[in-house]
Amino acid sequence: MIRLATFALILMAMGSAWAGPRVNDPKFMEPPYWMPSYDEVIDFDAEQKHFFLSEMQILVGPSELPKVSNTELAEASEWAESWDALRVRVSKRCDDGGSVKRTCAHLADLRVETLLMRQNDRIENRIQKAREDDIRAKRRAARAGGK
Amino acid sequence: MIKETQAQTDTKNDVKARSNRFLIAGLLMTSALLEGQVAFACGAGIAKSTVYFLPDVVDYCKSSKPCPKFKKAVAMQGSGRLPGNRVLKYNGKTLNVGSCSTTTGARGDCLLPYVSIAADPRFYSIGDIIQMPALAGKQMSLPDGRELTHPGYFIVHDVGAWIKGENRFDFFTGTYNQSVKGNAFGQRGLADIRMVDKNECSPHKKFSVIRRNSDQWQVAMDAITESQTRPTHGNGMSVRGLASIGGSR
Repeated sequence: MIRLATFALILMAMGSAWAGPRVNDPKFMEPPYWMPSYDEVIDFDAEQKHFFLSEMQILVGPSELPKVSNTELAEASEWAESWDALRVRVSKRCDDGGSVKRTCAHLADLRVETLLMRQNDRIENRIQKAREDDIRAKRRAARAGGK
Repeated sequence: MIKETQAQTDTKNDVKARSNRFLIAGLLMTSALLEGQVAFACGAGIAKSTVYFLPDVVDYCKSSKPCPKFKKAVAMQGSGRLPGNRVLKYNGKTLNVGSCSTTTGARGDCLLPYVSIAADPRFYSIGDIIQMPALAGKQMSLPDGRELTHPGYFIVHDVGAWIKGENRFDFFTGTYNQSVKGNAFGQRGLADIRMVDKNECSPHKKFSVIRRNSDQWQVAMDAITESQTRPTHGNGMSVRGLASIGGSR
């Protein structure tokens, strides 16, 4: 009986080690949100998804964040475990700060920008979004010019 | 004699200085207490709220054809309701919202009057729930004439660039504009319910957050669904929007 219990405990321990990243961990439910959750990604419409994935690729490419190819990124956005794994890797690196701090801030802002593509269109939101879009466009132009 | 006078003067000065110190300390303490009260009333955990709505063409025009007054309201609110479950956008485009009795939010869900809110995506995920215990059990009339017993929960269904900050929320009130009598969250709503003024930091706006996929989330979601499906108060159209949140994996 004791042997059986020990075996069960070992199996449970191994299971938790194999379970991989757990985004249901409360830590990942709380801000800062460096990346959108899988739930958010699958809710993106085609335009939002295309925008987010292509801009993320541009941002992450030259940085020290975990490298991911276009194909990998597109595949991850279709599969929860894969997206969660990527999100955990990026979040851990971003939480550590250091040289990626700026890229992480831009990545978090990219998530917000993507979500705001389907914002409520009351006039105050439209005015504020136009202002922010202008600032982002200038920032992107500066980044592109700096390459 | 002179020495005694000097000593007396010193003592008087000491007493003055001490009373001044007490006065200053008292003022500082009062100021700190006041600041504390202000922080309690308007600080973190108390919502800074505004309301938004969906103008309905029947409330603005004599026919179902959009008139200038309705178009003006649409320009301000971003969209307006047309017959046949269509929505007129501020840019002139029309959108079919299917079986939704209002309009759709940031992830395509049907917005629920008095339950759907817009929040800052920097602090919230779409689908997070905001709990306001003071609202639980309050009776409110819905724009379609039915009654709602408020569950005390709100769902983050929407976003807006103007909605910034952890305690900043925009409350959807269906087709009720903010000054109409029936709008429980509007200017004519009861003081312990209304949400129209973001500078009014009342205790009823005290809130806590229930994150999407957390343990308490489903319990809160069930309470919201129940409030929407109760036979005498139900809004069957909207439940479809609720069912689509969560369980996405």
